[in-house]
Amino acid sequence: MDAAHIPFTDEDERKIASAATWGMIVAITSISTGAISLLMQLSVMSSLPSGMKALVLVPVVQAAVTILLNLWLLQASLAFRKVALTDEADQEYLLAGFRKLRAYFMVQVILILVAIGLGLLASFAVFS
Amino acid sequence: MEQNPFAPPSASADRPQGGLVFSPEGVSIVASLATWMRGLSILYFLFIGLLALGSCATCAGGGSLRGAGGAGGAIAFVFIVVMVVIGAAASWLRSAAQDFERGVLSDDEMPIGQGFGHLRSFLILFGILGLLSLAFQIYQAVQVL
Repeated sequence: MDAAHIPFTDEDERKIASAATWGMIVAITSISTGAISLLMQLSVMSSLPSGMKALVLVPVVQAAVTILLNLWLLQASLAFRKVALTDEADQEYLLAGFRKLRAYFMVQVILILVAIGLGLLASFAVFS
Repeated sequence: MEQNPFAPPSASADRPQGGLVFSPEGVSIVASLATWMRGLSILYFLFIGLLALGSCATCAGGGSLRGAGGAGGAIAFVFIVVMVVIGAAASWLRSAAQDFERGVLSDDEMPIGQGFGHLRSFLILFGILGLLSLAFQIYQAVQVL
């Protein structure tokens, strides 16, 4: 057996292809939602006085993070799709997908922990 | 060397030569992926705990809202539905992490396939939520513009 090809069963290959399709759906819908939200927030902020224009950075950073995260999910899904649909370098594509998926989950965990930390700091500041 | 006929059967005994073997780098990638997936599932479980506290508080305060049509009970019901959804996502994520790690550590493709089954369930849930969120966002944008 060639190490490049992983002998998944037909059912497992269907699961991998389906997971990849849903991963692409999650990524594309999240990127679209982020882009529409950014456009709406920018249109609202365009009416702000010039001293508050720096606030525009908040939705821009938020949208950039959303797009980056979901690009990783999209790349992982495309790699998993190749695992399911081709037999040329399954192991390479699988590891490439896992690498992108790790970045996607890692940044999510870090962002949630940062948000919790900032929330705790803000609540301490309010109550002290 | 003569083989011991009384030795217990091993999982690798009937595996084909030159089969699935992950490199040390691959093993470390999947171990690290599994750690982050488990970390995210723990955060989801913590969120469920907070929601449970919130729903208890809402139920406790529901007595005062009875005059307003039992709004406390309705809010608690919504909390419970959200808790079930997040609980399912967290357990699928955890199972996928365990299966991926088991598959790569034992150089076996079967647990990896099972892991993709759990990951697919997790992604289907978030895909449906993403589609609903996109539809709501488009509706809001149409209202604003």
